[in-house]
Amino acid sequence: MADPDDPCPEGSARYRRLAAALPDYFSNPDPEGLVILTGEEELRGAEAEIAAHLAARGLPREWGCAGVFYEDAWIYCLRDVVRFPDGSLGTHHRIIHKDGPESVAILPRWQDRLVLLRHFRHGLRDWALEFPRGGGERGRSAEQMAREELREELGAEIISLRPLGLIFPQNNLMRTHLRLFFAEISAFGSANKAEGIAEVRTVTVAELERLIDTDVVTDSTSVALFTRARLRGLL
Amino acid sequence: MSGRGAAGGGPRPGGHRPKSGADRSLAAYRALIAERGELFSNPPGRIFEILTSGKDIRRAQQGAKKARLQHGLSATDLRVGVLLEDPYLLVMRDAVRFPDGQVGLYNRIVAPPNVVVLPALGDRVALIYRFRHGTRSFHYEAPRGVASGPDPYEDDARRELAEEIGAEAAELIDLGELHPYSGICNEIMRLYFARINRIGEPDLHESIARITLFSARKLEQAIAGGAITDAPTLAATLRARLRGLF
Repeated sequence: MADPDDPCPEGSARYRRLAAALPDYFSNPDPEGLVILTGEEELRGAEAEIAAHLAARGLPREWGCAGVFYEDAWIYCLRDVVRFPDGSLGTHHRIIHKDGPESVAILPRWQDRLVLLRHFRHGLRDWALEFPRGGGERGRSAEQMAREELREELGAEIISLRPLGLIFPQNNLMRTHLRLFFAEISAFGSANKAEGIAEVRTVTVAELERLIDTDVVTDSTSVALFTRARLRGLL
Repeated sequence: MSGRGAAGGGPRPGGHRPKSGADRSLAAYRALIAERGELFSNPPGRIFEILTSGKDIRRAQQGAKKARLQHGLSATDLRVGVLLEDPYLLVMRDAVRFPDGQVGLYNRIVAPPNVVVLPALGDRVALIYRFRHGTRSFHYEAPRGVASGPDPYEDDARRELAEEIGAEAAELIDLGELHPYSGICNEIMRLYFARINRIGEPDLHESIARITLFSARKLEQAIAGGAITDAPTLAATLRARLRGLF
């Protein structure tokens, strides 16, 4: 019989199945960090406590339930119940990409110019000037993904490809990271319109610095990639 | 996105309660369009144009159904509108016309804005070593948090400095905007550079293990060598350096 006072009547069966399937994502590597509560009794107790706080503020009790908040063909969005290092309880969202946590971004240099793409980004409802990025395909190395992105998005002929380490664009919300590359290219084609790319644009290093400084280039990954390439002395 | 701060589109007062989940999603979506029109802009160009008329939405749902079945994907959930929300995150699905003219559905996530503050104590930059839930690991990064006030978020920037590293900003310089994940999320980060006079205790609630001071040279070495991987911290460093702030 369902308990009418249970704030999370749907229970956590789906969440538990995911935790069992992806144990790596539910690890508690450090007691100083945020601890994910997955033990049945501890989780139910925490959910009830959070629900009581929410109810006292006139908010829906189910906002305190751990669960698979959302799922589609590409992502899971979770709501975890966590214990903060000061002992307090709360919820925290996470996004997990089903194709794995790794994708790539590439800074292409053609002669003495850097090559950017103008993309329409649905998340922003606006245009963005960015370096090519993409991937997220299981079973492919980062270098393979980088070569494919350069060919698909830019039709580029690659002379050389140099890895520049990785970055996390939003470490609060997801483990997803980008492997960065610096590519020397000898030629490129026209914009791939089917990918929502309107324009391929080449700029000098000084021009890109101005575009970053004046808020024209605001893509976190592109700015971070340029920063790393500069500090490695490649530009 | 943590358990406090501004709502990513909070609860909205509603009149009657529509019957089905699909009706509820669409009713919440219509309310959101009326309340936050900027989320639904259709700028010029070959874009993913958002379609909002009932007729266009039904056509887009049919387009998505056909495309999904062709790719062997489930076509049972074709809801358009607000799929899920709580005070920190909202997931919605739009009906769109793609640049090639086809119509279909496109998901996105609405999250509150953040402030990122790069604090300088004398000629050194103070970074925190913080546990992040998304990666389940520690990172060196600039203090940051959810903005709850109006843009520009100077009050939020000052609050984050006080809470996370016990510092007060003697000077706060706007370093512009950054978009952390523009493909699926509307999140905006506003970057600041701050001159501070002291450092206090790290915030335990925020899982900050320690505060570390970096000279400009050490900071650049740590970025080049890959010890610092947080993209907004790299971006704030570059913008501050380009302006000659440290």
